[in-house]
Amino acid sequence: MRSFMSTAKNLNLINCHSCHLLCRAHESGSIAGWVCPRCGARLHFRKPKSVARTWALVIAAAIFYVPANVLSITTIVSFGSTQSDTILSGVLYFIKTGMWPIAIIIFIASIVVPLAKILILSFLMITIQRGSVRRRKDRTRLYRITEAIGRWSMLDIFVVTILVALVHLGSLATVKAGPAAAFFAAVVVITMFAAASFDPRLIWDAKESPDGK
Amino acid sequence: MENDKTGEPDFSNLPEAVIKEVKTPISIVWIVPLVALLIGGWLVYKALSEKGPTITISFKTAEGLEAGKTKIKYKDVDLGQVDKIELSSDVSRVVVQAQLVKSAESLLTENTRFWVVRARLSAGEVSGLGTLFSGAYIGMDPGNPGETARNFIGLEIPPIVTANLPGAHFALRAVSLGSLDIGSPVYYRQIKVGQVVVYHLEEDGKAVIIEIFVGAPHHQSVNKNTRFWNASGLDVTLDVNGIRVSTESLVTLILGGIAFDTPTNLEPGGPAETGDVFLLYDSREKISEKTYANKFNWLLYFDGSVRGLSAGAPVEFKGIQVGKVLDVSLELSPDRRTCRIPVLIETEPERFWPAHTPFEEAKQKTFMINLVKKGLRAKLKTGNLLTGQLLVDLDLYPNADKEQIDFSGKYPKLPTLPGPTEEIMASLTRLLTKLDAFPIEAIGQDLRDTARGINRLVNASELREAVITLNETLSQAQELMTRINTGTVPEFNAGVEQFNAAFSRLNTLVQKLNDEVTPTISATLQQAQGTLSDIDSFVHTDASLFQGLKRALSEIEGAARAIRVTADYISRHPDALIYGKGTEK
Amino acid sequence: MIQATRLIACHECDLIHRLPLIASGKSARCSRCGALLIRRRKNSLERTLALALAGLVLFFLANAFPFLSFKLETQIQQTTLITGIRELYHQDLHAVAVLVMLTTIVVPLVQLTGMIYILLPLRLNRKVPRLMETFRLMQTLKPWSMTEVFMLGILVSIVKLAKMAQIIPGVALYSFMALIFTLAAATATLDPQTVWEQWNPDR
Repeated sequence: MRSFMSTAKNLNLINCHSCHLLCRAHESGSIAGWVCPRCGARLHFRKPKSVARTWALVIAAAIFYVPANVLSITTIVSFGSTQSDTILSGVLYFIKTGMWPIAIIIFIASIVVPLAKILILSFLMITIQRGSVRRRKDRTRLYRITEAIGRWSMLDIFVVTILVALVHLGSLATVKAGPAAAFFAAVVVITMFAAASFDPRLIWDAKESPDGK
Repeated sequence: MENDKTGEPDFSNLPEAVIKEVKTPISIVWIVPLVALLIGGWLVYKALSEKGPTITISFKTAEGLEAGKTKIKYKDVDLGQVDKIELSSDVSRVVVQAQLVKSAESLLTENTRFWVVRARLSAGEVSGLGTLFSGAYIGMDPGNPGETARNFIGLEIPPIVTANLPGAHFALRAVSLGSLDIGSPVYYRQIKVGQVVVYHLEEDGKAVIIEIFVGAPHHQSVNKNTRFWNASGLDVTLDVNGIRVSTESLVTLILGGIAFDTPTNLEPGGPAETGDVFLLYDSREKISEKTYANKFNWLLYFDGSVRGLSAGAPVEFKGIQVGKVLDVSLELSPDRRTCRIPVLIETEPERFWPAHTPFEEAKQKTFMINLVKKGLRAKLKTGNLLTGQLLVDLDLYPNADKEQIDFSGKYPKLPTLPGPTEEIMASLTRLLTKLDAFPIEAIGQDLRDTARGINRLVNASELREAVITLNETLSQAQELMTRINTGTVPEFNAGVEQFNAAFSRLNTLVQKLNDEVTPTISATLQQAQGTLSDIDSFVHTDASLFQGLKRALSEIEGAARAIRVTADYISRHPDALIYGKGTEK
Repeated sequence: MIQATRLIACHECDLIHRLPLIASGKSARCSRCGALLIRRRKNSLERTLALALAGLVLFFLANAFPFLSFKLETQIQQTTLITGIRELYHQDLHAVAVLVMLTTIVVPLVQLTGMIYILLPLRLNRKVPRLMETFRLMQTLKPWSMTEVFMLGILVSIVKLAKMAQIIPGVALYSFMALIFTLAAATATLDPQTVWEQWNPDR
């Protein structure tokens, strides 16, 4: 006998996002103000305004992504000569000096990951908005990956922090952080918020067609 | 259990689970924090126990000091670091808070002094790149033991840093500081043995007193008669002897330095004591100048220009310096409407005192009078052609006019001779007067006439014609040559060869003629002459002989004509030489 | 009260499941989308507490001692964790400085202290105010603790700078590395279920 599959929402049950307690939703009254009996967290069927919020954040991240890569992220001043580097030129520098692994790491962390997050989230939302029911498990997996890798794009920011702290030798060599750092930090933070505001349960809310898939 | 379609879960059939109270034994995982605590605690303890004292030093300015960077050094060893720099509460001074190492604790007494050594090339050494960038550091001198202190007032001028080092301090008196500075090295035989500690102006401002420190055991090399000289930078001397460049070392080039040595010709005079004052000479050469106590001044009068003679120029006797020029001035004598130049010189008479005789001042006068009698005169000579500097040259001129030393006046006057410039002037004047007397006008006129005559000759028409004909003949000859060259060359060549051969034979013949026949011919001519005279006597009587002669002459004339024609023909038909006239081409 | 059979909804696909008792060391996953529902840990409270305490000690060490020193010729630059943040702040990148401080210092500290604040009373059966709020805060802040990323950043920086100068690691560096592992271990061993189960709401 096939197990009965239903989302909690269908059964009017709310899953506390904090302590995973399944609570029965009241028939009457709006959902606002409901609190989990066990842990006190706010209850809601789905993350509020998930799609709208996520879209807004994704677009903002995409906008900030441009100056983050175009402007200089580090400026090295040594003996009076200044050398500014963007994220990309830093990667190229590593390639040129033969430090391939580092170049790959930074490239993935600083350029691929944020872009991937933006694209994946956009894709997920588009599929939700179209009500697609195809490959939902894979899409959920995609979301899981997105959430997990998000924090790693902070790598370049940390590298800049350390460089700025260490190479502080006056006229001999000094590293200054460039404006791209702020934009890049914004991109990372915004995409993290975007991933947090995205409710993957929406993927599964799309009604299946009668013949089931 | 399954949910039924109404959505209500049904749990009634399920057994009750057994609730177990979780026992709470201390699990092994507690080792982790324990270990962490132990390590951490030990590290903290180590850091705290190794923490040296924190001190404050107040300065007038924090120039060159940087919080977290500037080090505190003693004997070039890092003893601490500046942590914070703040303004004092009344904003008049800067308070520097520094952390010292533990081992420095014992050095902190009330007598400890701190001062800022500002950014510079480390005195005495030009070390690696790092020194160039090492900013200022705070120097420290523990001083004498006393009560411990933690708050200090920094000195603005570095003190004599070498208080506790074994050695001795000396003072040098110099006209000017030159390129010396605090820390400039002091060399002995090109080894650094000490450094300049501090300098200041003398009270009356006429000299600079430089205090130096010479470390043990080299301070024993400093005697009473040791000479110190400024070995800074490049010594470029441009004097009577020419240009000379010398330097002590690369360091002195940049930082300046002092060197000392005891000249071998002087008595050491016993070891010098701390605080002894020495004179700082300008260069090594100056110290080797023999110094004699005795000095005698003379006055010399020169008529000509003394351009190039300056105070300090040497006075030489036979090339050896015996004194120097003290002063050069101008003296106008109103009655004679002329001016002469008095030059005051200073000699050290001991220098040209006869050897092996003890110097006696009393005998000096007579000695000089004798010298002048022998012809001692003063003259100006060019010392250096490059710079035109003059020197006073004393020498014996036996042929000079008799003169006396004039002992009247403040200084005795030595007789002088005109200098080289004057001589040149005189010779030039003589030459010019000679030139003046030269009848240049007349010569010029003659030359002009001759030139005109030549011109006329050259322009004469006959000459011109002769030249033209010569030209034509030459061109004809040229043509002939060309034709000969371009004609039937091989046979012609052969013919020429033959001709050559014949010609050479002819040559030999002529040679033979010359050698053998000529005497015969001359003999014959003589005979002929005799004969002709005979004939002469016969001419009037024997007309046939005369007629015969005439006929012979005309024949010869004809022959000559024929030869000319032939030559002409040959020139037009060169192959006629070979083929004869027969073949008309 | 512990319920013998519980229901749980997958937080990723919202499917309702029956949840049997799960032994320690075992995990329950969503049947539809594979999300991790519950993971039980052995001796969660005690272990997490121990690790949290160790982490705290290490955190203190990591901040008190010099972190990395950068030596070029005779110039040495010593840094602590805070140096970089301070420097970024000085260079007018206030936002980035604040962000770095949050992710490497503040949030890990909140995690550690939060853990201790919650688990110690639970262990000792005491009550403390706002325990649940603290716990919820901790859970929310969990993704913002980026110490491992920082470690990777250090590695990349060292590789980049090693060519031009001498890098001298300090005590704090090793402490920080240990802290990362400890914090990760503590976060992993912390079993929210235990917290929920142990906690007795006083309402």
